Amino acid sequence: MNKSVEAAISYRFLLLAVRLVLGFLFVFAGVEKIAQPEEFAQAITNYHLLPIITVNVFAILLPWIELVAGLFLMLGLFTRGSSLLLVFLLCLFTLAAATSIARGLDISCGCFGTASARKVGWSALGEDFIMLGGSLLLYFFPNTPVSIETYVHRSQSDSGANSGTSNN
Amino acid sequence: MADRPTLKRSLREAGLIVLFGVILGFVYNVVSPRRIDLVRKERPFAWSTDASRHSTRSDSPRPIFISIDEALKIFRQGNGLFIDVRHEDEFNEGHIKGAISLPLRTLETNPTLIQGLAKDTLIVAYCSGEQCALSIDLGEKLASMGFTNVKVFFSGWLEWQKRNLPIEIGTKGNS
Repeated sequence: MNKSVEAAISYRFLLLAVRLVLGFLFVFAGVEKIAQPEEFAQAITNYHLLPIITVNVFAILLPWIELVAGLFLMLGLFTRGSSLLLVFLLCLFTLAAATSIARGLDISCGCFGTASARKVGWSALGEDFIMLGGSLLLYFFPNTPVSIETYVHRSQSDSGANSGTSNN
Repeated sequence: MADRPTLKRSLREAGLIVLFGVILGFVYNVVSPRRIDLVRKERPFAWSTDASRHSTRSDSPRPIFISIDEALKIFRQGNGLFIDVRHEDEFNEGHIKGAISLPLRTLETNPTLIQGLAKDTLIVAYCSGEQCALSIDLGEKLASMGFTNVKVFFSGWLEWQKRNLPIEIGTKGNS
């Protein structure tokens, strides 16, 4: 079974593209929010999902977590860890977007910072789902070309020092 | 496929990434010129229908919240300047008739736009609706610049549209 599954997902370069695009999107989203912390805090407040006293801490930390996770993903280091984190974050974003649509809120999305005036809505929800799919894919198939991790694995198996990795 | 030890290791990696993010976030917020408080403060609300009702008539140093009825009254009398605080694209898609576009960032970068106005000009700031606080920000900013007759039409564009009140589409105002 494993062989056929792995053969089916041998589109390694497609996975690489997913990894790079997803990583870049999170880096971009992080940077945009870091540049405008007060505006992002207001965007979070507008969702009315968090207690007001926690909003600013969230606004200070979330963009940096996105940025670091995106960077790691682009580098191909901790690919599983960062994609797992993205899965978690995207679940939160999806829930936030879905409840906002259900509540009929007419608020700015804040997804990629507040520079764009985009409203939270079906398109934002759709994007979240697509990115969620990409992150899950990377979690289950983290071995992509041009990544620090595969480079390290290769040099480890070349030297025959470590055969205990479960990824290959 | 991912098994249990793999999940465990992934969680550890994710935790490490979060830790990096947390450290960087806090450090950056200390050194950044745009730092924000750790605890968000609720905005003080002053509705014109509160005890401060009479201040809608007299000059007030702080922006006063007005309802749609009051905004409409000012609109009909034609003696107030409506300022749209939303993004320019949203303004171009439609805005209260006669309003000018002045997003907060534009005011910060180009304050000359309103410097020609008399300080007692009746100004009505609005944005998309009650989920948007930009109108309050602009109101406070204008008040701090010395404008004495600033109102914040808090229910804003959403309410205005709902009531089918006069609107305009296209560019106008600061550009």
